[in-house]
Amino acid sequence: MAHDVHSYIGLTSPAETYDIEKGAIKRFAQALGSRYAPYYDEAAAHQQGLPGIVAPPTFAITLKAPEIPGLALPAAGIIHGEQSFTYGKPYYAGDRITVQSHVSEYKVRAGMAFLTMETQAHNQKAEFVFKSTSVLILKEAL
Amino acid sequence: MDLPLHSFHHLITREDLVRYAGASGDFQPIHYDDAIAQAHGLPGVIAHGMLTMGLLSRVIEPFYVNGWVLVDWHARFRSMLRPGDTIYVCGAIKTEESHALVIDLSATRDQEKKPAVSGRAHLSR
Repeated sequence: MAHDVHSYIGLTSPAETYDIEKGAIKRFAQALGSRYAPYYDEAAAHQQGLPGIVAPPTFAITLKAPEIPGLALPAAGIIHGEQSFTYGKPYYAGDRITVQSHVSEYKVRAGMAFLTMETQAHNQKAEFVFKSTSVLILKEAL
Repeated sequence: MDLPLHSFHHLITREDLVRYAGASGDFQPIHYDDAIAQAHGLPGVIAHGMLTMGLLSRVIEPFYVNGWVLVDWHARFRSMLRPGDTIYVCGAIKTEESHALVIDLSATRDQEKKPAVSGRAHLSR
């Protein structure tokens, strides 16, 4: 059955709040093989003029919003086609970050669907922290 | 201006994928279970695109000490990478001004010309 493709655009997830933990940042940085000291060590971060431990730029992807009600993604057959991040206020271990996602684009081409999900993150002071945009390619249209 | 891009070769291993799955919370089985990956038409387990994008982020780390801040960046995942692939992860300065820097990034399988993952980063200070 053909679906009204526009019906997905604007669908929004509930919000989710994360406490940013230095252990989680450390494990993430290790998994990337990074040796950048401010990911691991508070004193090294201070030396660089940072108030605390910072996370690698792609750590943002681990701060996932809950599933979007009304958007039934298949268990498999999803290809991550593109990813972008825009950063606002920096965040550090100890901050509380709230994220929420919505569908910003949905297109069907040649039987495949291109779904763009945008996640916005804000800190405990309600300041903008990052926007993550993921283009997912679905082998079969929803 | 001293522009210390950090380029490196990296052999993708199954251990990388398992560590990245654990650290990122991305437990899609196509990244650790060959049988499930094959059932979905893949040759075997494939690397997380975000693992490779994370490797790209290492290229720009040396800039942070000079006060540069990553403002925005994107990556395009053009072909799959698998355990056993060796990639060359590198960057090239596209434009350079006193307060703004654009760096093109790529991860390219050895012996190949087209990158498996390409991207562009905007830094400011």
